[in-house]
Amino acid sequence: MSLVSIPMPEDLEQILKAVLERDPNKGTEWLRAGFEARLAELYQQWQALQISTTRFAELLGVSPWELADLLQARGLKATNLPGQGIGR
Amino acid sequence: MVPSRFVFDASPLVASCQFAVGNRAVAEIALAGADVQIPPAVYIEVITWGGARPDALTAARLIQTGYIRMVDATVIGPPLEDLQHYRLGQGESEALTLTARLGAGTVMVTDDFLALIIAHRLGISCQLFLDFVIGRVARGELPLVEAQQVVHAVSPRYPVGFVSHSLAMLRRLQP
Repeated sequence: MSLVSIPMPEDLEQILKAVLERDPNKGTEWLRAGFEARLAELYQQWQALQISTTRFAELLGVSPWELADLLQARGLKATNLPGQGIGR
Repeated sequence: MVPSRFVFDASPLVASCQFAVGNRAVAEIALAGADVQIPPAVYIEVITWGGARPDALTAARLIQTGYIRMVDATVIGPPLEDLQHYRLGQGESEALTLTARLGAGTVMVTDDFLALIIAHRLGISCQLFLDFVIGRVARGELPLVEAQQVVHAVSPRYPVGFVSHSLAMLRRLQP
């Protein structure tokens, strides 16, 4: 696992600091949960045709290639075309 | 009118560079000899943001070797005003605008359903990547067997029905 610096909102900083003192792994868990929640939220919007494929990637902050990888790794549909995906 | 130019957004480029038939990327087979153009935003999404990934390098090679041509931003001009009503990405907006500007004989190729619907509403010719492949066979630009291999290769990407329908359409083109 690598270390990255992320600016922390002040209101979260005090809470996270205390949490990390008790359990250093909680930061990773929070980060993952936040990312997965955002991915799930945008995936729903994408499937409902509220946003396009590239907009989905832009809002998630990833490239179209990375978006394809993320969807594949989670067994999610690769397009917003109607119908169930057959998966890889 | 027979299409003579194709404008791709990022979705079919990503798919056709991620999948392969043997050791050839699908794009190398499906795009060979076609007039395929992309706007600058699609270049940024696919090539710049793709970095050194092998599939992104495949896409970059297709541009270097002339399979795909990037169109200058001045050709595209300002985005179509009607697009402001939708939440499209930059590349899709530019691809729709470029297709509209190039006019008759130009077809946008996308696998994004929202972009496909918007194109239809605006009277812009637009098709899925699968239909681009079928169209090339129908015009005698791509051998049937290679098209069938391409459709099989990209099949994991599409919902049930799209692939079997494409293969049925290709079978009907058999001499």
